[in-house]
Amino acid sequence: MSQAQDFDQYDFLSADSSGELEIDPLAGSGTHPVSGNVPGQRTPEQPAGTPMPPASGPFATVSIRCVVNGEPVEVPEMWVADSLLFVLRDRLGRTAAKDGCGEGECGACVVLLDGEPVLACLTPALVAEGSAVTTAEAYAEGDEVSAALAAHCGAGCGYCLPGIGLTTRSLLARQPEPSEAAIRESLSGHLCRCLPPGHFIDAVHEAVRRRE
Amino acid sequence: MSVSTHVVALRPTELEPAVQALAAEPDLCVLAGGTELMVLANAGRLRPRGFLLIDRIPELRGVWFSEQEVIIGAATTCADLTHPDLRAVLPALAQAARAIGSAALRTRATLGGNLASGKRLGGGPAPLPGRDLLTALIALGAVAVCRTRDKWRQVPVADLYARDGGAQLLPGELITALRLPLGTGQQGFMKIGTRGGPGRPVLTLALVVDPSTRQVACAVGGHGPVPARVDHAGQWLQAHVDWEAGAIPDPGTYQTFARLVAEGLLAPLTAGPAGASTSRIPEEYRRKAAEVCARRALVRALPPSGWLEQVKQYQIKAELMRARTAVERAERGLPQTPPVPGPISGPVNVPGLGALGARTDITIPSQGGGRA
Repeated sequence: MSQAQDFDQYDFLSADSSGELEIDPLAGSGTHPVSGNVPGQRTPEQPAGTPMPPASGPFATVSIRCVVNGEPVEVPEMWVADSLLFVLRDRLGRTAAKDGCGEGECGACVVLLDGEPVLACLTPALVAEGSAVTTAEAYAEGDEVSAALAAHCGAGCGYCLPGIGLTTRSLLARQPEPSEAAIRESLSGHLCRCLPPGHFIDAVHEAVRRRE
Repeated sequence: MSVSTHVVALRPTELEPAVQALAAEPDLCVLAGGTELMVLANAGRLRPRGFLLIDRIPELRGVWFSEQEVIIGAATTCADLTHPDLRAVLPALAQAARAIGSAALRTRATLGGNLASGKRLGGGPAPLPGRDLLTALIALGAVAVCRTRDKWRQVPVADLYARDGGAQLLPGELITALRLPLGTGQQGFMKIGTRGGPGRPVLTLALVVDPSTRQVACAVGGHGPVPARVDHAGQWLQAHVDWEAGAIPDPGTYQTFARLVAEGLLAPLTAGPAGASTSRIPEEYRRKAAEVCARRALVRALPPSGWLEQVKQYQIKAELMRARTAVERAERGLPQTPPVPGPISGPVNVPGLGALGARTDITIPSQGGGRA
């Protein structure tokens, strides 16, 4: 789907200024059985990353069992290509992983799968079968990384922070005292539109200090 | 996992059941990392009948060393490819792997997935001009090993693609491994993306120099579905290097080589399938980018002098790696034999680079009788 399409849907100031939203002429045909959306189009209520299968063909469903933040869970009747992000947020209610681009560009959806950072939007929930998934909710208050990020990056909107926190934790698990180059490298997949990267590097250094 | 009327999800732990399942149900969607298929699924462009997960097959993951070649399992992740040990022996491939996506993406994205990604045979245009690894693999002269239930097939990676860029895999066929000649460390990979760090390529360039055979291979990608080799630049360079002393006497050599590569990008028939661009980058920018990348890659791969010492150190490192991987495999109980057919009948000439594994079709005689 093109960016232009997305913009059109959000652009309430364009074209006629009557203040009323025009209804998409395509909306009547070939709609999604559940959401009523035209395949390939998104509405503001349905952010990127939500699976929208084409209008025909059966849904292959499957059920999986995994451990989320130490708690065993079962997800019955899941579409076989549902993303881990969709299952975590919409089926299990764990909303710490954020839904950004849905294409693996932004890093807002990073979770740990068996301790490794993965992009939840591009990981089929299927592969979590029998694995341990960790989201930012696993870390309570008083966690060094959370505290350091709050101290240094609190001025931003916070949308990227759950993913950055998890990447930082997996980095510190591998290298307890990472170099600045290693920090930059591991955080390079996280986009933040509020703060410059220096804040995050300071935060990781502070987390290292707090851990000692 | 629950199963409805037909197989919806399979996750074998060995290669044999995987190819059996794929032969029985060829419309199963093969998924290793899922980093490309999930983009399509999330956008509503893919509704698979079922998935065959190949991410838990130890035979398909890892690196094997033999006397003449390196074999890399197709389900090896890009994160594995950037490992310092592998970077020491295959710098171009490691650099290419590092240029893909972000660290979190690389923990799932796989080598075979990168080759099979992009345009499907007979399908519409690719959503993303990716395949960064392919540029390095083509310059390295890699041979892809494919397997259906009944047959092994080995084909140079560049020949794996149709002229329109679609991967030509047979129904029920899996890419199991890639065979690479054991070169030396005189390699380089460069990428220019639409932004710094991870992103879609505007231009990728891989340069592989083999001082023992005195051959220079260069491949340029990012402008079309399949990277193209720029052989004439390498042939010209061959005559302008002092191979005995390990030096490039004339500093103007770098500039001329870069210009030849950039010209090769424009010349018809060398610029990849129909020379068609997949993005809206102006040709002039791309040509300039190719020139700069080629010069930098050559400076790093062959500095003006003193690289004979580098070659020696590299060979020691490679020997060490070979010994260590064998021991590690035995210790951790990983498969000792790579997912390739046994002896290869007759060499195949990968154009430009030395001969490596043959383009061969090997039929597997007995059902379930393991590998040939």
